[in-house]
Amino acid sequence: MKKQQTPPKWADRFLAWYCNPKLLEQIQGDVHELFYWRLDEAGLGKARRSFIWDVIRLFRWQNIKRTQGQNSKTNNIAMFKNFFKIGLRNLWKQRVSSTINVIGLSLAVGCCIVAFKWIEHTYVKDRFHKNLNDLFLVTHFENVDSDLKWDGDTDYQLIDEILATVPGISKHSRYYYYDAGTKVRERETTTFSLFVDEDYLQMFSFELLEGNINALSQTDQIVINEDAAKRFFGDEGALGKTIELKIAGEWKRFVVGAIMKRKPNNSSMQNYLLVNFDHLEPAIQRSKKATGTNFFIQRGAGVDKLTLETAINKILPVFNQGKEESAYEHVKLEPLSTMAINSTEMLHGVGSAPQLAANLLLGCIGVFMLILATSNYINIATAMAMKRTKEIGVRKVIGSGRSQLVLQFLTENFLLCSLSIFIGCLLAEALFLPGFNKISGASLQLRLLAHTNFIIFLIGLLCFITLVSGLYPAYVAARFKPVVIFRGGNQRGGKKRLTGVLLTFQMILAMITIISAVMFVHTNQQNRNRDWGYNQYDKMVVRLPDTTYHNAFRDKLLENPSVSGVAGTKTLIGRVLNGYSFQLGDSEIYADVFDVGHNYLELLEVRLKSGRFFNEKLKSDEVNGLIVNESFMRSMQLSMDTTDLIVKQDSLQYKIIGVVEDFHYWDFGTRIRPAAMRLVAQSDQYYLMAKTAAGTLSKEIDKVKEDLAIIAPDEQVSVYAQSATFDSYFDEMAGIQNIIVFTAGLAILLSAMGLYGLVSINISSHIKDFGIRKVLGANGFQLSAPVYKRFRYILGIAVVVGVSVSVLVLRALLDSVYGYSEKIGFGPISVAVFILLGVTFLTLNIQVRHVKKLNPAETLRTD
Amino acid sequence: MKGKGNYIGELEELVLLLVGILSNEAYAVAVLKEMKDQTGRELNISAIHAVLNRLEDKGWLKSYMGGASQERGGRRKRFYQLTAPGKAVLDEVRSMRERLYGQLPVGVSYSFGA
Repeated sequence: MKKQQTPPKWADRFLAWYCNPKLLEQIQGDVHELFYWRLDEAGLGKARRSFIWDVIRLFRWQNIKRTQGQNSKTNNIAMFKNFFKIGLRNLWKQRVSSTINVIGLSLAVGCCIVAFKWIEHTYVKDRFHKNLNDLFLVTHFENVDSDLKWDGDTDYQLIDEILATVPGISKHSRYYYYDAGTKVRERETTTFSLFVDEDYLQMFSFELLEGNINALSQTDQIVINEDAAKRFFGDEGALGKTIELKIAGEWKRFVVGAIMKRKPNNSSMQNYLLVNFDHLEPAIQRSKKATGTNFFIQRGAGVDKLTLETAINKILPVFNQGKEESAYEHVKLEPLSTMAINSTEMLHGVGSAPQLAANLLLGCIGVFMLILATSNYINIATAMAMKRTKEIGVRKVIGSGRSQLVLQFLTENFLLCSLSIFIGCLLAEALFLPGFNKISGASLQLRLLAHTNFIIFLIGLLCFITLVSGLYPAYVAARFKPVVIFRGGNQRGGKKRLTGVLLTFQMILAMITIISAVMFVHTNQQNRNRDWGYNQYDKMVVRLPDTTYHNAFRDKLLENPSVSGVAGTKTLIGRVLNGYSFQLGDSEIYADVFDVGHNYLELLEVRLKSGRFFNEKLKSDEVNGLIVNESFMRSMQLSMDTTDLIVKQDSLQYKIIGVVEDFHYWDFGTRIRPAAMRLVAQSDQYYLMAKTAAGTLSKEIDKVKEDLAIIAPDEQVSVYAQSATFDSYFDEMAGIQNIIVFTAGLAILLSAMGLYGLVSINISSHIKDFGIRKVLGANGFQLSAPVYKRFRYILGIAVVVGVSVSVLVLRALLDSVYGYSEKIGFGPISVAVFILLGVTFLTLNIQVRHVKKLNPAETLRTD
Repeated sequence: MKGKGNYIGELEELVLLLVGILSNEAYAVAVLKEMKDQTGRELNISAIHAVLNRLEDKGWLKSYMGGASQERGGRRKRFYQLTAPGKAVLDEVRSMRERLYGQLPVGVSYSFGA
């Protein structure tokens, strides 16, 4: 068959599709003319190929773009102004639905803001320094057991070498901290002290409050921040005051030379108490163990990072000479901006990496809420559009295009979403952020204008919710056929299914969050009542200001008639954790070790399983006696009643003289591990524990405080109850629980509001239906049955799917939060199902009551 | 006038000249054919369109629609005309080129190739 002597149709159509209509006539004419010319010259095949090629080559922006000139732009503005006006009127007209939408969306936006603020602050760290791009942590890779390890420390010797030979380093500071003994006005404490070089405050931009920013260059001056100033000197001015520090066993006097503002929340670098590094030098010289410290450099202007790295790497061979074990493979300069995120990857890193679990949880909550609110929105907006069919019909008949209708709806949507974002910001600022800060201990602030990322996030969020929530309803509305509308036909159909799907999805999310909330509440309750493995009640703990007070305090405590026994200890069970490896034959386990005094375990009422407690008369117990817990024996695969066994801890040998039942020496976030108790001399015991008569503890604590203050007038004596040991843990868990319960509450609220809005629109569009039924004598039940009926499948699916997803997923969440969590059993699930069904029923009931009370005359009068 | 000032490229100059030569019959396809006949250069129609648009933007050409024909499926053409500024530019380019050419040293032998 002979091919038609015409240009390829598809190419022609393609051209007609993309080409600006104003240019189409001329361009299409040209290519057609060329086609027939080539047809004569070169034949059909070549002409068709050239035609296609021409069309492709003409596919350029200049020919595609539709706007030309400035006239059309002014028209658009007028059109949008119109859209805005109509939009506002419509929102006002449908007040109830609009309010539901705005409340839902703004709650979700509030949640998202909190989630964003938190997640962002864990990822974007240390960005406030002026020299950010020039600051690096010197890190290196070294071979440890044929494994390349990344290390954030740098050898002291190498630091000197680098500073002497490598050009292009403008400033530098070593960075080393430890708990140094501090003496202020003869009161001794320990303080987290940071040893840095004098450039430190020039490299890192911390805000100065008082004093001289160069104070560190005077070796007898130190710099503290406002928190430290408050702690040491209260409200008096701290500038110029004296602080003594115990560095390498030697007391030195310092004058406070400057007071800094507290470090920003997202700073990895500390500034609590800064001391010139020179004071640490003697200690380094003496100690063989201390080999390196964190080392920061600031490059000079215009110096390339790579050049610096190469220069440092060049001196490594000399440095590595004679080192086999810890030779440096190569040096890497880690930029300050990524240092914190990478800190978990390396040994001796600075700063903390984001906590994935917390971020994930918060992110999920934010997204859940957003999904819930948008689903509400889509459902209600679609239903609302049904009520505006006449308007749509008229507009279409007058000549409005589909795109214009979509724009109209999107404009309304945009108005509503902007309002929601605004209210969401207010909510976050006034309620969510302060509440969240209280729970998490963070200090997040809204600071709208000063936070560029946040503004970008809000704009993105606005675009996202406007489009996601608005496109579908707008599309549905724009598709109505005017003929069908005016003929009075029915437009319902496919969208009912989407509404059902969205509603089901909402209910599933609500179900999951409710089950989580119930589980968290339940687990916390169980944990509060959990047996600690010993009797934590009626025990008072006294922290000794100094071990020399031991006997005096003990005597004083024993004078108290309600005290029935006193014992000393070095490690306070529940507060301190410290462990070693123990060996028995070939097996080796890690165990937490507690250094206790005689009688401490008995007084704590730890339960003996086999063997015996320490005996004061046996000298051998003090040398090598060891009491272990059941987990210890189990890990060593020993039966519980084997005693007098010798285990080794490095060069030391211990004899297991007793086994005690597992007890919770740490909070319930950690599972009980192998543990061992050994005796410690009285001169090392920092704590005394006293057992008091039942019910007298709180009264006795105050009394003992007074009594002891008389013995040690210049010291701080702290006395507290052993049963308060886990209070901070419980508070923390209660915080997490509150977040989850809050989320669940919000989820229920949003779903219920969505349901309410949907049902109310549903009923109002069938209002005549109900009127007629009433007139014909339907009773309350017959009236309400169809309303409930619609939702029974949705609820059924939601419950089944929600429960199964929860059982599968929630386990992981609970395990990551709790060491001991409750099973997701029948009880919690039925409570959750009951809550969901109850709320749904109540919501529906509000509307059903409205129908029942309805006066049929009102609705039927107009017809 | 917009665009990159008054600079004129080689192809632009060529097209401008051809439009002038074709006088009342200058439209894209005609320019393309004339270009092929007179200079042997085969260009794509989209390139011709781009150049014509650019020249019109610069004010050296003006255009009007007209002249439908059978082979174009009854579609009209866009005819182009050289404007006074366009002619002035051509004059200037030519005079500059001749001035420069006249300054080539006389009596120097030129080698072939590199």
